[in-house]
Amino acid sequence: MEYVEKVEPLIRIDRDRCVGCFECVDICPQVDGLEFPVFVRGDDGYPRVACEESCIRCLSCEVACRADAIAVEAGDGTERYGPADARAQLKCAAMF
Amino acid sequence: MRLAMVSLGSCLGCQMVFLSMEDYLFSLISENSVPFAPFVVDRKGIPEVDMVLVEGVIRNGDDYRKAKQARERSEFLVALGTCACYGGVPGLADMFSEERMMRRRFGADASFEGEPQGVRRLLPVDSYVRVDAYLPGCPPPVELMRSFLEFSLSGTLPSREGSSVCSECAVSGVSLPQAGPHRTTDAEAAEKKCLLEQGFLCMGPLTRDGCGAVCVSESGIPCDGCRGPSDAVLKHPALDPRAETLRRLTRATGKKPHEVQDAIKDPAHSFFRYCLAEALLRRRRPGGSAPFLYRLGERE
Repeated sequence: MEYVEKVEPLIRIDRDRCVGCFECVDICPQVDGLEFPVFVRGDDGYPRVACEESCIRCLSCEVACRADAIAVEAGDGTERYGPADARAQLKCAAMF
Repeated sequence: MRLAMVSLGSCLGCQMVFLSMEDYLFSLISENSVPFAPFVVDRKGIPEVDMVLVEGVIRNGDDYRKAKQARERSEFLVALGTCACYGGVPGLADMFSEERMMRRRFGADASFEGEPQGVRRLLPVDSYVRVDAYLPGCPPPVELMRSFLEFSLSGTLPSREGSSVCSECAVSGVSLPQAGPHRTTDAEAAEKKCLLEQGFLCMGPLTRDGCGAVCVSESGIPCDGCRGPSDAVLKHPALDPRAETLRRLTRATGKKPHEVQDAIKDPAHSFFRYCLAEALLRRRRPGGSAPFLYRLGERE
């Protein structure tokens, strides 16, 4: 059997923010019909990361999450839409 | 610390929040000096201060001069309320050209001689003067304003990493699909259940947190986005509030996207009620980057 290297934790779900809408499970392309899905519906009403090795880093879950609860580490350090507008960054930094 | 409060074109709701702080307001006034605040002290002209809270929009030349004066005479300028941060409800005036709007409001034969010159297009205060900190909210919740003032009067202007209203919301999910999309006037919402999944147009996923989601969790009223766009919406130029909400409503109701889109009659009011004037969102507005967007059926 081929040895699969364990990857670093890629997907983190913040339980304090998560509202249990399961939108991540619905939108993830690596869930339906897969033997090792990325997300599964947990028994406690929250999604659970089951198999991070299946993740293709499309970041759909991070974009779709309504509560900003999912953080996916893009391994190569690139930002999702490129660097944000300088004015937007300044405005966000000063916002309370 | 000397604190002033300047009111530009606004409804004065933020001033009322300042008064609603009750016992904290007394300790604030006794420990700091408040030389200029319309509802608290009677004085003409803005004096030299350390921090000025500016609320409202720059609607005409008088407002612009007042904002410029406030900037010159203070060390820190804070944009208070959604009007000052994003243009707020007065920003919806960008749906009409200035002349059309005045004619519509005051009649065809009204005369505006001797009145201050209005701006052609409404923009947030930070498009005119430098702003050091923002406190959005329509009006900002009393507790939030109090903690903001406690931080800033101790010497440092606070900022916090914003999430969305959903992250504070204490509702549970429902089984999908549901009926909809509908409005709160047409259908009854189940208590303590997610309004978006019940088919109501809720702007919670795209709105900045800090209010505690009291409208949704406690009163069952869908969020209309009064705290302005969240950090994600501001930072990511491809994140479209309309497309995101339509996607979620499509998922909740199980209908076709165009059916959901047809059910929403007024996209400018529904998705951009408090941030139509914000320059960062301009390309994502219903009318694109056109200077004015006319309401449906009103184009001449």
